[in-house]
Amino acid sequence: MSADDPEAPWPIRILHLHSSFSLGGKEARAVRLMNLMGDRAHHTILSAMPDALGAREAIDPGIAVDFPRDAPPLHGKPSLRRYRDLARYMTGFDLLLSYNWGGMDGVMARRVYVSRWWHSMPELIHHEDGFNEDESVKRNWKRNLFRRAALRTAQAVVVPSTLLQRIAAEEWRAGDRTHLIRNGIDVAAYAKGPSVPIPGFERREGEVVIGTVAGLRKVKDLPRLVRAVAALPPGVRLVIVGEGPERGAIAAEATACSMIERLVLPGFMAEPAKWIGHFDLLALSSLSEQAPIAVIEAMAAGLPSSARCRRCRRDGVGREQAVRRRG
Amino acid sequence: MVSDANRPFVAADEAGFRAALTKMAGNSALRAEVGAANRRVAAERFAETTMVGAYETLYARALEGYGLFSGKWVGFD
Repeated sequence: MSADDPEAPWPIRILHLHSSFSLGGKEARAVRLMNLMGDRAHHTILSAMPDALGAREAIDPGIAVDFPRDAPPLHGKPSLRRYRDLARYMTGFDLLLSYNWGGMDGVMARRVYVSRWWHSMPELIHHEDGFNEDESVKRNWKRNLFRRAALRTAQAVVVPSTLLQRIAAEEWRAGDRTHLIRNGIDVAAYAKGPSVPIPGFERREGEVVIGTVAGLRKVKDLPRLVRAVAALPPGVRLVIVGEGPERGAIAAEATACSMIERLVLPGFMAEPAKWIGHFDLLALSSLSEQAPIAVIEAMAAGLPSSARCRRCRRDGVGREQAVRRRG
Repeated sequence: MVSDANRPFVAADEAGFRAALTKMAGNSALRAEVGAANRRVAAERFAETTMVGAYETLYARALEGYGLFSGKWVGFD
């Protein structure tokens, strides 16, 4: 083995601290990166919502991964005892990767106990992709204090957009430990056009298909999209790909707007490159993530997007390029 | 993050969002034009190789320079 092509004497043991491991944009990216690491890493995944593990199916069969049931919990009230257990658990790994607010308890646990186990404590890199609805415009000040304290000993904070870069660097005092890494996808795979059908959907002559890809959660404000499409001519249909607790509320809204027959809810679908081309345009009624992967996927498939975004006066989907040009 | 041609269809308010949807839904030539511009921007800025390269460099800093994606020792600053 040459120096350029080392034989690693170990698979790198990585502990992932996720807020939830249901398949959303950030989880899909994390899984894609895991798959690309191949046999060079052994993964252990903790989720602050221990039953939300939908992204598990997307992990390649050849990837070594554990979802331990006996690990210290990532969720619960902050307590020194729980933090100590978590921190001690961390010392069994080579790298700690935390994600969003739900992973922040792990960041704090390491922060509190890093000096006790400094010789065996791995580095931590935090990933922040966006916020829940309660923090999308203004961050909760208590959480910000917590983040500021917890992130002090994190090696890096990864963000996908310039707005989050500013928030992490300034509000959370991560400064130059903040790294902007834009979400990337296999662009070429999207150029080929759709190859699998969307269940319950068949294109009708002359119709226009507005599509969206989202977890059916409140923060996505999907009933608003239903109302907007209901106001369009009858030849326009809406397809919402995704699963979640708001399914009933979305269908009820469509019934109330007399557009239920123009709505398709096929549930969750993996591999958007294979079906997103059925859409004529992508619509997002609320942007909770900063660089929504669905918009990038739609762009790669050659689709236009329309979105409603309260923050976009300043940054986000619409403004980011302008900000980049200035800076 | 969208193309310049797409930017007018990102609205800060409900009325603007509905107007954008109406305009897009009613004009297939416009959709094709904006879509093509988006595809160019996606290829330029959101290629997966760029993202993976950035994660490799960043994670390597925590792993004494070991590149998790390439299996090589990578430089980091």
